[in-house]
Amino acid sequence: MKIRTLWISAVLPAVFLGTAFLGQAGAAIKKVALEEVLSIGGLDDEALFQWTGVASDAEGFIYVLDAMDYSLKKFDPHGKLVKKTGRKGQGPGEFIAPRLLDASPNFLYATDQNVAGVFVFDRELNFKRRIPCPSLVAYLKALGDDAVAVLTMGFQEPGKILVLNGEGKILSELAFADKAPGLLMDSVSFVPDGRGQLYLAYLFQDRVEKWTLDGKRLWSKKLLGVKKVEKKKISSLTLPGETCFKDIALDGRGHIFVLGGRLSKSPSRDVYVLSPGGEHLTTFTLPDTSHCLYIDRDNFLYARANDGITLKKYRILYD
Amino acid sequence: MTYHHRRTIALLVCLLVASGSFLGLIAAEPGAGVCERAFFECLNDPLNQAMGYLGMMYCGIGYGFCKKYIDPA
Repeated sequence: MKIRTLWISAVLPAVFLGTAFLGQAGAAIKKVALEEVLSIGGLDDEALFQWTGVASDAEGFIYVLDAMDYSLKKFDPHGKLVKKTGRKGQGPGEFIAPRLLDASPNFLYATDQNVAGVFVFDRELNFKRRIPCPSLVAYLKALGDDAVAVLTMGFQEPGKILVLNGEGKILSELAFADKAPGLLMDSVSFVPDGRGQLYLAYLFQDRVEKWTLDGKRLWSKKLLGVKKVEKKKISSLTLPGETCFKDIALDGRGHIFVLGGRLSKSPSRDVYVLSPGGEHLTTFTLPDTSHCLYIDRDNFLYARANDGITLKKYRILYD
Repeated sequence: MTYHHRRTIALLVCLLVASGSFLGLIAAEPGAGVCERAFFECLNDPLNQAMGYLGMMYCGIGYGFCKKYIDPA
């Protein structure tokens, strides 16, 4: 009787709730496919020249950093260019080498390869300020209107992910890298899960990992079966020569999408889909090579086509 | 290598040169790829050498971006 009561009162609700939770976050999927819903820029127009970063907002506007004309562009949900800002230079709102972009509810965060900091724009593309950063920024994700996470790397010290507020004050610091990782071996892309945890994908190592922001590694996975990436000697420095994972994103169901690099079967096109626990669920292939993977709040996936002249938006189809 | 690939590489090289750090492409060593050659030139750029550690950092981040963006071309 007591056992039966326990089942009814505790175990069954737990099973039900667990199943319900799985239905929302990281549910098992067998196959992922893409359906193109929008294409911006082409060989016959001048919408984009060589885009590097993309972000979107709650109203469906799409923001793109274009390296070839040193600009930040805003497109409406139908792909029409509605505003453009920026030019070549080192003044406020100007770029030398625009690279990374992300959005919070009210702001856009952009980086320039030459600048140790993050540029902040409002959604009308007005330059607001520069968040100072102790080092050049190698990767970036917005955490909110007053917080941004950046990857800083050093030749002398291992890479770190810093959480900065709007004034550049370091709010927290994740030292994820090995003590002596080797030059650029700590290059990662990362994505926060909104619950104080981060997923990391290494550019030059066969490693995808989950970390807590306070520095605990929850799991580490290899997806490519690569033991060691080939290295090349340039001048007196030894550099990794082949890429493993180029970008990482989270879909609306909590699945981890990891874009494979040169060492994938279809280089720069294979996307590995993992559960929040790190289980490899499936792999699908992008129609074209990409350096970037972005999934918006409505679960549309954005990637590159035509070597950066075109931005594609896809609906994610699950099976 | 398609026309688009060649165009992308040409555009990227122009961009890197314009950024004031990768000053042209001269072979670092036989068989080196475009990113390796750009990194070599970046390291040997007097401006970057004058910046010391920061210049090396800039070259390293540029190399990572190059590998992400155009490799494989």
